[in-house]
Amino acid sequence: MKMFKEITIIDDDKIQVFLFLKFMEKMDKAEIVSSFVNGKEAFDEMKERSENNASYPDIIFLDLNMPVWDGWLFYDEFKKLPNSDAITIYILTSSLSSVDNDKAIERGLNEKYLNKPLNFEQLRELLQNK
Amino acid sequence: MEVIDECLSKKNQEVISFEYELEISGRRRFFNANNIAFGEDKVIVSVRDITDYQENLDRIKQLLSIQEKQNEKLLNFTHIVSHNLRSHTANMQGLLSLLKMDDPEIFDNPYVDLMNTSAENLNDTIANLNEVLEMTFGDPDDKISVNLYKTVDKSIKSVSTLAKEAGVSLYNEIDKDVAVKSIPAYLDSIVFNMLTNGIKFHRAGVDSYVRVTSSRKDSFLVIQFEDNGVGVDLSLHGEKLFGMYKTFHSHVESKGLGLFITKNQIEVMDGKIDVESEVNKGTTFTIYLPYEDV
Repeated sequence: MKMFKEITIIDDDKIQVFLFLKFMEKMDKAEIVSSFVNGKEAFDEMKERSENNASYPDIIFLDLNMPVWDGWLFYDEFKKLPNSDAITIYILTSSLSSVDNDKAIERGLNEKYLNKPLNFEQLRELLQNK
Repeated sequence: MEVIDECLSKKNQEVISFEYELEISGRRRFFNANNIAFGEDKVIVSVRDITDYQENLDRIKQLLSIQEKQNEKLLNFTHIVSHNLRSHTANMQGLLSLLKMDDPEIFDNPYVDLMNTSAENLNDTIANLNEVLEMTFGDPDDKISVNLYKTVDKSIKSVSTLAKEAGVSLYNEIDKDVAVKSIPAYLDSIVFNMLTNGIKFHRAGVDSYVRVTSSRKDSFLVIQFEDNGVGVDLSLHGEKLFGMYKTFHSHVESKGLGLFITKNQIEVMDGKIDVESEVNKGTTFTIYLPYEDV
């Protein structure tokens, strides 16, 4: 049964996106799984949707270290768009850096900070409890 | 001449200093001159050769700039470890987990299984390395007052299963009101490491224990972890005990990072660690942290 209309991953790492799409395909929980290769590309799309009154994804999985716009820039700018508060954002990063961890805490994302590798069971549980 | 005029014009006998350099027999020399008016029409000039001082200063500046560059490199390296390397191992593990889902039998093949183990080990190594590197940048200014008894108590609780399995008793003999100025995450990690170390290296056939005590000595708060475990031959391994990736016992799982990290964490907090040990008797680690009234 599909529980979500759209789940999005923002990550420049092709293998990570591939893994994520495979996991989602196996789980079969979302009608659409979309992906963006950096924060800027994702933001432009979200801004356009916001202007056209189109809906955002239900959940966004956000990588941090990306070219053009990194995850934090996307996060902070996206939060300024109208109605973006309702969207759940998970940080999905390979970063072990305490700097990133601190930034997550600053933004109240302690519970939404996931370290790669994200395994199948973890992802399933996460979506189940949403 | 200008300086002399200036000196004479000053009523309050002010000293006018300046530095200059001259080339003498092909070598650049530096001088410092102090000038002060003496009477109405005389000026005392004293000149000092400060070439050595100047050269040392230049050398120090040069060393400092090298150090800064190396620090920057280390920071970049930390970044590479915590981001770039990690993302590749995460991908490897992710792909292997997909493979396991699609084709579980393929893990009967030892090549695949070993590849899986290697990916996991690589991931662990990178996590450890990151921990070591992050610590290098730990800030001693983050010290706050922490209750030592509670810290030890908390650690004892978290390792209690491990201790029970190994048959090791843990004793917290610290006074309930002893506080220590420290970086809390480091203190937790130090105590945890010391306890797990004592548990890991317990000796079969005796009532094993790890006893934690504390006392004051001069300007230090002394914390001791005493066990009656297998001990280590310090005359053989003493130098290397706190080194990175050194292991001295092949029979237990150890990565050789615990003591290295512990020592570094203690040093960042301006403390030191000593060890006394005898094979088949036991080991006592003594940690000195600066005592501050808290």
